[in-house]
Amino acid sequence: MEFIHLLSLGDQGWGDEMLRATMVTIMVSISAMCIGLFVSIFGTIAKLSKNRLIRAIGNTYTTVVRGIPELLVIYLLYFGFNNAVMSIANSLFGYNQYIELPVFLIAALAVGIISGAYSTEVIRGAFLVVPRGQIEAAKSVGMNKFLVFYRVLIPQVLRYALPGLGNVWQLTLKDTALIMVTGLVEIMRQAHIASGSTYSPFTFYMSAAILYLVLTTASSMALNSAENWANKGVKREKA
Amino acid sequence: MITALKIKNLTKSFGSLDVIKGISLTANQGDVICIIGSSGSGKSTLLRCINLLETPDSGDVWVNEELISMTKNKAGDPCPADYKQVDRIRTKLAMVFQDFNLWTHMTVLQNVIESPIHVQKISKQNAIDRGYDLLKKVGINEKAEQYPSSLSGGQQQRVAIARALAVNPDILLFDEPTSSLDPELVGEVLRVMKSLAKEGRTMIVVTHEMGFAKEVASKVVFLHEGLIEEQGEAKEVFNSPKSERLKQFLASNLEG
Amino acid sequence: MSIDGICISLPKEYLGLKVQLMCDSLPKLLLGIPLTIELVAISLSIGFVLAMCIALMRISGSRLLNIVSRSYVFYFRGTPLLVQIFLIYYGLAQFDLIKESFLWPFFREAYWCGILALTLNTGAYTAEIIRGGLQSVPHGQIESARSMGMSGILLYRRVILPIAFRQALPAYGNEMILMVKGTSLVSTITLMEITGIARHIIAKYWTPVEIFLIAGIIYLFINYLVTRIVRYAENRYTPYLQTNE
Ligand SMILES: Nc1ncnc2c1ncn2[C@@H]1O[C@H](COP(=O)(O)OP(=O)(O)OP(=O)(O)O)[C@@H](O)[C@H]1O
Ligand SMILES: [Mg+2]
Repeated sequence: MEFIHLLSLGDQGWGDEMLRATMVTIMVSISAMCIGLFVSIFGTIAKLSKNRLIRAIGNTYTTVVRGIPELLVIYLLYFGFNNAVMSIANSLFGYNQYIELPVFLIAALAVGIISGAYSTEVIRGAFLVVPRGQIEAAKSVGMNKFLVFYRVLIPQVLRYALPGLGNVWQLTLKDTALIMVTGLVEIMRQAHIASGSTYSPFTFYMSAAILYLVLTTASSMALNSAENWANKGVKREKA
Repeated sequence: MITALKIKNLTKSFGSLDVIKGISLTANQGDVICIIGSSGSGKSTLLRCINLLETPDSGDVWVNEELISMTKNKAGDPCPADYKQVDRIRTKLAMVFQDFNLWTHMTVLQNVIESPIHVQKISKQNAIDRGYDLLKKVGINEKAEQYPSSLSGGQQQRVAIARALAVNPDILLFDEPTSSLDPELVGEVLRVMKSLAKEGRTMIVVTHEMGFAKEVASKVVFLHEGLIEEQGEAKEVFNSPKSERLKQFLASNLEG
Repeated sequence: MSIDGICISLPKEYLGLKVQLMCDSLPKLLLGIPLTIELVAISLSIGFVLAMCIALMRISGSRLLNIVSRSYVFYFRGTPLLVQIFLIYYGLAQFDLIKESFLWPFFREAYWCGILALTLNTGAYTAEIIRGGLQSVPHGQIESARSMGMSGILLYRRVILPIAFRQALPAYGNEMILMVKGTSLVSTITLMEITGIARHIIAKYWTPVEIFLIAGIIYLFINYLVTRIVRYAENRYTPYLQTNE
């Protein structure tokens, strides 16, 4: 029963640290998902654009980010952001000390950019499956472009995109494990630290695994009820 | 009397395919014009050009003697000169589609009151009251709170008609409104359409229901390969068709 | 190497990136490709067989087998691959029982731990893809086969499996790409595949952006090839489901 002692709360055990790290994981995931959704608005607009250059930019973003290992993307953005900020600071202000950006911010941005590529694909897909007739019906009763978009297209796109965005959320949640390499103390990093200093790696990696399971399961339950809510009207209701 | 709709020399092609090759047509107030013709003859395209769901390549359309003004975009393709005018005119020209196209994310009532509230800016309560009246008129007021997917095809199409009527249109466009319905559901939709015709509404109806055309059409237009092959009063067209093609078409379509 | 020759004409630095170093490291990074491909190929093949077993357990009708397969899929899809790798490589060493057993030579090697983790991971995702493919077979198609006297293995072999396979192909293509990307994680347990070599070079010269950029391009290229192969298979086996773009 060694592990109960190891995982207890307070000074002796690592339980409270693990829980705090879980909060960090949740916060990074939420921030990353939001950043990703924000990015995907532009990604979708770019990929559906009539302009070839803009479309190419959108396609490059999703292809490159989805074709390179997440670990590499995180490394690249982590070091890339730091380098960029340092060289800007250097050239603008002649400041040449080492600057360390807040690691939470970089982690959220890095995972957010990955998450955004997947969200872009999902939302673009959803736009394409909204039946043409839904839009034509809106035009035929005199709705202008804005109304068609806002009253008909967006609600339908969101509904078609919801399951896919749920998957992106699960992906994002799991991808945050990789940001341990940036030194941010989330679940994985905490488990790594704890197993290093207690020589009980199994206990801590298993706890980490269970924490992720709890998070993914809770999210999928929440997502299911969100889908049921959004699908009112689509499934045949019981008469 | 005002002419409700006038079309002059309308043409439309998709790529190299000329679908409408120059059609002129006039509908007076209260006319019910039925457009018949074989599949691919351009009936839907003609109807969709009238409310600009397709942009005609050339030709003019007047609605209530107001010309829809067209211009050319940067690429040199024709496009509406004033989208506000298009939106306004579209509320004068409500359309009923073959596959209903009810908005799946709104209830029956919400479908009906959507445009009155958001396009025509009628107060919500007024729109709801009118919405119920219209749903009653098409015999479906009991389903107002349900979502379209829980309705039968015939019921959905009647809701679509109520939605079209809700914008108080001067002209109703129907594109094969009964073609995707099971035979036993066709009657209920035709009944609603007949009552609208009796009220004196101006209607342009693309249909394969020859019985309906015979009974209510003030004019029947037979399209063939993008041109009007023959037109006239229903009796004339059905009882003494002149063109050989129309004769063949009627022979193969007069099921009863 | 001949590649050095090309680089002579290139600037030493461009946009603040050390171009010369990028060129020099390319051949070293390319040496990581065989291991990356080996890891992908082995874990995908064993993982596929495993996935078939899991999918069969799921539809076997036995409650116990059903629960086992569900839990397996639940665990491996619900946790990050990195945790799975660490648990096997670092975690198992916590138990003396394992350290003293005949399995230890196996679990001691990062290589085998990596393959095991990747295999178990892809097995779970692939099992779901297979299940999805089987479920997507329209009921009418099965009924019409039955009405012509097909049943059992014949029904599976001639109708259900071909339809399911074609339906599942795009998803499996994605899974292959996920696996290629997944192999980069075994660099964290000392394996010298592409990412491992990249980290090794970076530790020496401290030029992370340059080296990871090159490594990223290599992965992009591998994944491009994977996509082409899957596209070819799709066009070959599902000409009726057009795949544009
Ligand atoms: N958006 C489009 N792009 C390309 N071709 C089109 C388009 N819409 C229609 N067509 C073509 O134009 C021709 C006429 O089509 P239309 O839909 O007007 O025929 P229709 O008379 O309504 O036929 P149906 O009775 O089958 O509805 C057809 O050959 C069709 O393939
Ligand atoms: Mg048509």
